[in-house]
Amino acid sequence: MDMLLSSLANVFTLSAILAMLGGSAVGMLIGSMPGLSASMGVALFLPFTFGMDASSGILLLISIYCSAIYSGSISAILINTPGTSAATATLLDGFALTKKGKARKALDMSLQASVIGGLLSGVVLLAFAPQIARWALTFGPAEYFALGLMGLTIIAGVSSEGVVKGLVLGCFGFFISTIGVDPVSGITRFTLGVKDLISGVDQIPAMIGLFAIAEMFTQIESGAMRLTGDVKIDKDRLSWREMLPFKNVILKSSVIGMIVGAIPGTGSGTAAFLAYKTAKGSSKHPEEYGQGSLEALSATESANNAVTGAALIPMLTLGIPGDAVTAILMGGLTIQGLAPGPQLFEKNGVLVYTIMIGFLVANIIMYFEGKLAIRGFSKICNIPNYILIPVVICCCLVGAFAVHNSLYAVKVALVFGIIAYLISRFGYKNLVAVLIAIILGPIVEQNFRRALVLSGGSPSIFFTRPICLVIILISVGSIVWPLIKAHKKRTSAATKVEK
Amino acid sequence: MLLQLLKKNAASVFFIVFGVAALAMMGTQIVSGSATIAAESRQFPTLMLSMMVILSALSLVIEYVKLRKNPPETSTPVFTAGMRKVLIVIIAITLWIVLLTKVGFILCTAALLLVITLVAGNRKPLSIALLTVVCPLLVYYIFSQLLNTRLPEILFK
Repeated sequence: MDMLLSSLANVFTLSAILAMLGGSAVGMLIGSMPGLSASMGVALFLPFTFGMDASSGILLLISIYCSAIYSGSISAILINTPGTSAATATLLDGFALTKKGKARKALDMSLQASVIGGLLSGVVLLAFAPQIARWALTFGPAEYFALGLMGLTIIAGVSSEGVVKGLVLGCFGFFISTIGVDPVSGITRFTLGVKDLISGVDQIPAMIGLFAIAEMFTQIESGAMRLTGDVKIDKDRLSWREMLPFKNVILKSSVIGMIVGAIPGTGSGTAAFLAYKTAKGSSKHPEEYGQGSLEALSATESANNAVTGAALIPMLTLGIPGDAVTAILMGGLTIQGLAPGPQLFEKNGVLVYTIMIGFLVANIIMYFEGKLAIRGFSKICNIPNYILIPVVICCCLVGAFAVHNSLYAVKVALVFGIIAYLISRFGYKNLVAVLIAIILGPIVEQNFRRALVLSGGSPSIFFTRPICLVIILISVGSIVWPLIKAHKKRTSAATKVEK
Repeated sequence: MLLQLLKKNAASVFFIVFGVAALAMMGTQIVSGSATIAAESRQFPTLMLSMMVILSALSLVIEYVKLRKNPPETSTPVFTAGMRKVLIVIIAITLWIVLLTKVGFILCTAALLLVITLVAGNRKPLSIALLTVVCPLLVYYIFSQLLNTRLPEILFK
């Protein structure tokens, strides 16, 4: 109880409130601009947390995350272009509503459904995370090795360009994580005589390079000036009473979002499409879906924001990030000298509860800021790329510089930006796998070696401990299952052609 | 067809070359007085690099089979006009890194922003002027005054 009260006091300090207000505004701005993703926004603002206290810094990043996921729907509704991948399903009905002259109703529905989805997932986070963390305290090195491996294999398994390429990126990331001093033996590895590399490749500039600089390079290559012309927002608002008929859809979609969010590698986009499909299947008016249905919009928006709280569960309780944003948030915690995982609940319980309560407050702040800013959204969507790109690149470079007040971090960010841009240009688009592997690399390697020491060098330790075995089987399944699915798809396509 | 395959899968080729080069350097990059300690330290990177090389090669084979089944009607150029623009921006950023401590943050950043906004297609003099003047000053103020970042000053102390 004392912990809960201390956490409440932390959330309602002036610095935390200002961080959440600022984070929500920034997140909305970033999410509503097509081309700027939630992960990029969080990576970009990570350096701002260096000088802040741990709770305010993390709450700033979480506010950006929640708001950016929500506001990706704004450009989807107004200009038929999703601001973030999470809002792709919103396109189906959002823009159709704008064409019908119901842009305001669509924006209101998007905001209100997002807030409900976010709040519900926040409650689930608060209720379940401590239990999972308590259970995870019984884990040994073998289980941690298996968990780290699972985090990566699931992400590689859902890779759009195939499992093999996802695994290549994972191995590349794992290798990058070995650069610097070996944490077990203390000898240096692959430093090439460069002093700065002794401490390893810094995760923050690497993240800025992978997700922000590479994205800007892609935007420059595409040559798009801006995405569409002017849009107008009408004054016909959506009241809470008008939302009552959609309560079951919102609840069901939020549950889908929470389940999907807790599974590493799936993400908001998947949750939104799954919720859309489920809602359409049980709808009394499925024919309206795709033609501008408020019900469809309530499903996609509540689902994609319900992912946000659930995605924090594996990161906070097990130290396993499920996607790019949670990986960057984990980086934010590491900067503050905190190691996510079950020990975090033991050693920094107040901070963990501050994050979880702050998550709920951030969603409420997002609601009020969203209501205030709704009329200005049409202008945000129309900021031309030739202004946006230079400003973002400038912030990336200075943000990387701020990590250690040195140009070394800027060089790391640029190198990773170039590598990420080129490899995604040539068929390896699942950059999340690289980032997750860089973060999980030390966990996987150290626990692998510790487990072998404990077992006297016998690998049987990974197969004789039940939890470890189950996790390893899930890891293998996440690799094999997509291959079986792809094979089935190919054979059924070949059979159709033969017929 | 082989050339088309390598062009389309340059990233796989990169991973193979990178992996083989890193494996070849292993003996000089992980050195210890004790052979056992060195061997233990090399274990994980060796495993990862070997898997990376094998899987990249496998990916090339998969792409080759796909390409044989559905050969493309026209060959796509590797370097597009868009990529040339990216190259200009990369050179500009590299120069920014090299010159930052010699010229100072504000002038250096103004020049970088000018190059990027022109490359991105900005042809409005007022917008260019505002961007190159306001953005460096604002970023400088936020990072140096509010976030205590020590940006190179020189010309504008």
